[in-house]
Amino acid sequence: MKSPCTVMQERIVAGERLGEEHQAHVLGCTQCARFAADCLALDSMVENGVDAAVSVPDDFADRVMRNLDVANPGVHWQDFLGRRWIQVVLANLGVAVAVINLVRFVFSALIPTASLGGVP
Amino acid sequence: MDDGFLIHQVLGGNRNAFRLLVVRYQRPLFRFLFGFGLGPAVTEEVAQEVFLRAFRSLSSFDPAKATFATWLFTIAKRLALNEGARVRQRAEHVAVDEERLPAADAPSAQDKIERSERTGRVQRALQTLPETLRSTLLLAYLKELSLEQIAQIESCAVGTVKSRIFRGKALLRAALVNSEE
Repeated sequence: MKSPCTVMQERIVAGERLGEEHQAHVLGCTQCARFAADCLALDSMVENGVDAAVSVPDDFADRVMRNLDVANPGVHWQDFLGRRWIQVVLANLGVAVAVINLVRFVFSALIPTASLGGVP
Repeated sequence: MDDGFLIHQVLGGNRNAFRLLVVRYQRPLFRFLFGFGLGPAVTEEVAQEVFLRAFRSLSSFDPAKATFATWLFTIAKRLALNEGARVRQRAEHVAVDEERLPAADAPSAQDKIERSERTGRVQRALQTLPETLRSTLLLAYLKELSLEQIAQIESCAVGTVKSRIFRGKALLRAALVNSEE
């Protein structure tokens, strides 16, 4: 069984929103208050460190769009054939062609025989 | 304009909608990739590749399974891990590129040095974390993803995400304290 402080500290670290009751606990408990302050300091240090280092070039989006043109994606056949509705349509088309061929075969094989007096 | 609408527009042939998605996610993506210690040039290359792959396979994106952000960062994580492994193999030391620091307010030389040191310390501390903890922690620092979304990207339970963040921050704090000494 976790202590209330452990539960609180896990929630603080995960960045979960604390309700009023929990906030009151953090403010009233020396250990949790210290923990929350340490966490804030760490988060702020990491975020500032990352923010200072990260700089997105102004023309980054332009370059991405130019690369898309070079790649000339259009509609990729693999993507196109991977779509569910395309697969269903193709499957139904296959069944329809199979049925038509079967009917053609039956008619071509049996009807001429019957017309010449044979027994189907 | 939400992501769903923009994706619908892109699939209908409107490329400008994809540009809006790029602009929306470029900074979080760069921040995420920074933590893998790839260096500015490689980070940019990987970020470009992430968007390129996202564009190419956008028709296979299923909004019922994941949000666009989750899907995009899953691609980014995979590419960053591959690239990170390649960088480590080449054993290149990637220094923080001071030229790319924001030029806003024309910081003094002293400011630049301090900022560069701070950035370097954070990046080095992040590199000391095990890969799974680092990736989860970086996603958590983006602030744009919920714990559920992070769990989806990391293919683990929400409880595991919380525990990784907890352990990751403890290790990160220790690493930063060590680097101060």
